[in-house]
Amino acid sequence: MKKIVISFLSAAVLLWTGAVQAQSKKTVEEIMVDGYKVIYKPTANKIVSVRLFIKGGTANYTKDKEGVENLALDIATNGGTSKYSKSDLNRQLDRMGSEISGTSGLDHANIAMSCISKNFDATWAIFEDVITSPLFDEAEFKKQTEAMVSNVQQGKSDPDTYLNDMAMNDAFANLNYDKKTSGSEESLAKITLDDVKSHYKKVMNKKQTFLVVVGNIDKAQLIEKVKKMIKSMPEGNYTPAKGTLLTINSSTLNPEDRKMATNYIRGVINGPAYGTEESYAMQLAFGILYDRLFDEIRTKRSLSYAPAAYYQSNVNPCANVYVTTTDPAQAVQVIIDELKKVKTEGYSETEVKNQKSAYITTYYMGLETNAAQSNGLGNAEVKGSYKNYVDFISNINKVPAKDVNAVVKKYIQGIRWSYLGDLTKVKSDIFLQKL
Amino acid sequence: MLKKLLIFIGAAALSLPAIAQEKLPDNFFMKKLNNGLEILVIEDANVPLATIEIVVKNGAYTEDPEYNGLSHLYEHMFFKANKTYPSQKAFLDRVNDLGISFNGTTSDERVNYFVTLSKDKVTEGLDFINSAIRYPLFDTTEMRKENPVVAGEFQRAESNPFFGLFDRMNKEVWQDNYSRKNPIGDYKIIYSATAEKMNVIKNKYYFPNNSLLAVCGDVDHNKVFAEIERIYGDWAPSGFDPFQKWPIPEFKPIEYAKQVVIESPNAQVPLFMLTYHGPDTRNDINATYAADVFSYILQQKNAKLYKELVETGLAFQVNVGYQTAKYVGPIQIIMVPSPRKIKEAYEVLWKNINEWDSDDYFSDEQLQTAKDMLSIQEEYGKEKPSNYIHTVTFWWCSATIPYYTNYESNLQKVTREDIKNYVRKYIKGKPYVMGVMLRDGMKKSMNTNSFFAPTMSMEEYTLNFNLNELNLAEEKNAEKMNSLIQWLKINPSANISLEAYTHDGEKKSIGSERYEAVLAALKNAGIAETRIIGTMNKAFQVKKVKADTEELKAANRKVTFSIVKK
Repeated sequence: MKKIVISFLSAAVLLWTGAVQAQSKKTVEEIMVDGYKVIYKPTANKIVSVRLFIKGGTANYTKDKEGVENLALDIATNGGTSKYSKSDLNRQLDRMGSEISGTSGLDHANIAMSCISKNFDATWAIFEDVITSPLFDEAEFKKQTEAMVSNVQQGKSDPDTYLNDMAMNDAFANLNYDKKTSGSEESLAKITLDDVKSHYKKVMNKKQTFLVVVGNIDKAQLIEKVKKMIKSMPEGNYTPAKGTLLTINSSTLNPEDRKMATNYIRGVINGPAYGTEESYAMQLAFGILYDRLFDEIRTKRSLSYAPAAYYQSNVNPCANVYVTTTDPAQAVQVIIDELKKVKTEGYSETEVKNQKSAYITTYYMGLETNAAQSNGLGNAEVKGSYKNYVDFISNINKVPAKDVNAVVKKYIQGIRWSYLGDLTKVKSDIFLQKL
Repeated sequence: MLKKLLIFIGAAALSLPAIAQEKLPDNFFMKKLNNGLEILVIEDANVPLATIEIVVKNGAYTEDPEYNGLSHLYEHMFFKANKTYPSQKAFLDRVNDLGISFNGTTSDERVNYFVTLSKDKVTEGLDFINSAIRYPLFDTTEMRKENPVVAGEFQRAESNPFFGLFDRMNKEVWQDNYSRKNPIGDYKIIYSATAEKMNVIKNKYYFPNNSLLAVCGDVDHNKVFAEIERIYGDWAPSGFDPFQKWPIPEFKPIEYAKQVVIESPNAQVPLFMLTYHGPDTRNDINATYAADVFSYILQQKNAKLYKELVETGLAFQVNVGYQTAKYVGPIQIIMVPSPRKIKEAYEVLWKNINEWDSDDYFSDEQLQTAKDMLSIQEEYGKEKPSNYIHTVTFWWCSATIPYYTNYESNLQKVTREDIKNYVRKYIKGKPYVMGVMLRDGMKKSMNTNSFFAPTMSMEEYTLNFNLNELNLAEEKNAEKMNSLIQWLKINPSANISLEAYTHDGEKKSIGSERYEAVLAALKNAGIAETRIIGTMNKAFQVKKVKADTEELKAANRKVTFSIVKK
């Protein structure tokens, strides 16, 4: 039943005001249940999405233990609990078509549950047990560790995954983001089951976690369920890690030779802190830059199928340019010329206006599934407040064009380039040009 | 830019009745215009958006090698100059003006183009697609510029070592008709594409009677029907069915099982891929339902396959899937084995496949769970209208809309017997192509040759000998013998004959000795002598050749093999 398709890379632009988005703001509610935060959004459809967010992400472990959080969540969600053997857990979830899975990223982890509303109670019962009393069995630990090593190795085959690791390690060296969330062969060889258990115990507390629930669920029942779940959860004592702003003032190159059909290039640029007015301006600036690179690199010069530019609104933010090309010298020069042009000439009022509209499509398309909404709400909450997700469009719309041009001048000072491909195709001087 | 007022014609003005609704879900509305254009409207007010999708029955399956990739290039050209927007810049300006999110895809049996935009701009969206689908310019300069872009897409795929395995497998599985299952295409063909070739495609397939226009979102179907009739009503039909005029040739069945080895310096873990020719919606609809249910039985974590491979740590991943198609849907099994237990994983996979038609391979509960899982997947799919529309149009191309709307109820009817029949008809004991992707050096370190050797042609198996020698252990001969033995093992019903050649000047008995040595090697490897045809009359199988030159003599110190068909 699966479909194999080839996608045409699209440019997404939309022009119309976002009056309706206020609706979603009204319905999202923050509930404190015995001091525990629950972000709740009722919906009318049949799907329920619940996520327990764990704040911290890469700040929760040291470099030599990279991967420990993902490993802990894999075992917790797959390995059985005190009430449900592994086999029983899988059987029940499969029968209901429900899913419980865990994943850990740069700034947070989450244990996600999805089900259809008629199976909410039964799925929640398993979810609660996964949160409160996972088994952490030795055999499961060994199996999941080996599977993670295999995933790490598979990731090295994929040039995009590998380039991402290269870029993050280079730009965020000695900061939290130089840790690989999926672990490395070295770290996974050393992590013990005790490490995993103690990590889970350390982060699973009331201060460091919160819940997001999106679905057709009765609020009173939800509160009762949450009360029961957190009854034995420790209070904890969590202080969020402070975000670090990059200070890239000149350009550098981090090259690696790999013979492939094309070459993969990514440049990391400074970015403003998430949730600030500047961050919305930067989002617009790099949205417009995306369209310009698409036009200059793909449409006008046919140098690439996939040029891109984007702002990554993480706790430790950055902006990025990206291209895959068989002519790296020319493609990189176009990117640099465009960045220089943007810095000196800025963007037009029309470009900024159109870009604001473009985000409305993305916003509404993001509202289509409950799982996307729970992810968006929780992600924003980890970085400050879920309201940033709800108010995204109005925050974007407030930014004047002059502010967009100001952030470009302020933050684009240099680029930390990572290059994966044929090293004979390009000289380092091109990358190292002053902006 | 011009902004048109939305003027909707009332439903009463429609000239054609809607297609019978009784089999459709409540929010599905279908209609067919006089020119043959089918219309599907799915009302879903989840968000204030509408997605408009034009779908054409085109794609790889319509392409012979000379056109391989041109449906895909055509798809790219849709987003360029047309009569209304005479350059790509004008096209993109209109995109900005209307606030459109757009995309297109090319697959084996479908090409689709879609835009998502405000529910208030549906008419403008329909107009926009109308210009692109009916009046493309195929500007030579734009085409020349787009060729490297499509090549860039191809190169990105090629940069992942898995693509090398996938592509090679496809060549073996689909043989002479490989192009018809290769939507990304051949970029040499794409580079040499001309506007004439684009027009050939247009004049074969891009007609209303070969297209579906679907709208999904916060819309009123009557208003949408009226607007489509107004805008698309004068789109002239072709007057022919392209699939009658240019029939899709049938895919040749895989004749013998085959093993393929791909080595890549960038492959980090070994990966197996196994493909069978499966059922299709033209010839065996019931088996397509059984295939989906069975795939969902196997993906349950308590399924025997998962327990014996993943739970035991022999493999990290195993996945069995079937892709529904109008023209031979492939059944694909992908396994990532533990590098330390690769042979064991391979053997356990085959043990399972051989048990798939046994009475107790899965429980009644697992059968019911699979059906329920498929139904719930549908619920998840419906949650996202901008994506759900693609699912529905896929079925329009590769089956029919009723196939899809009755899909869940037909799944519920699938029995254990249906699954056993499906397994026996398409999988168990049937010829297949199996590939493994290895990093350079893994072949040796994991000794994969002991159970998995690249299949050669019978001609390539020819063993060559030194004068008066029986050098079977020599590296090249040993490799060929090993591969031949593997081939005989994976094709247990195939018989072969062998012929030993010698020439004047070699010792008299050497021809027979070579014959006997090869025969003994086959028997030692467990190949039954009954499968070697001609052993009762060995004398006929040993040939002495007159050879004058050293070159000719060397060429006639050999043992050759051929398949004996029953």
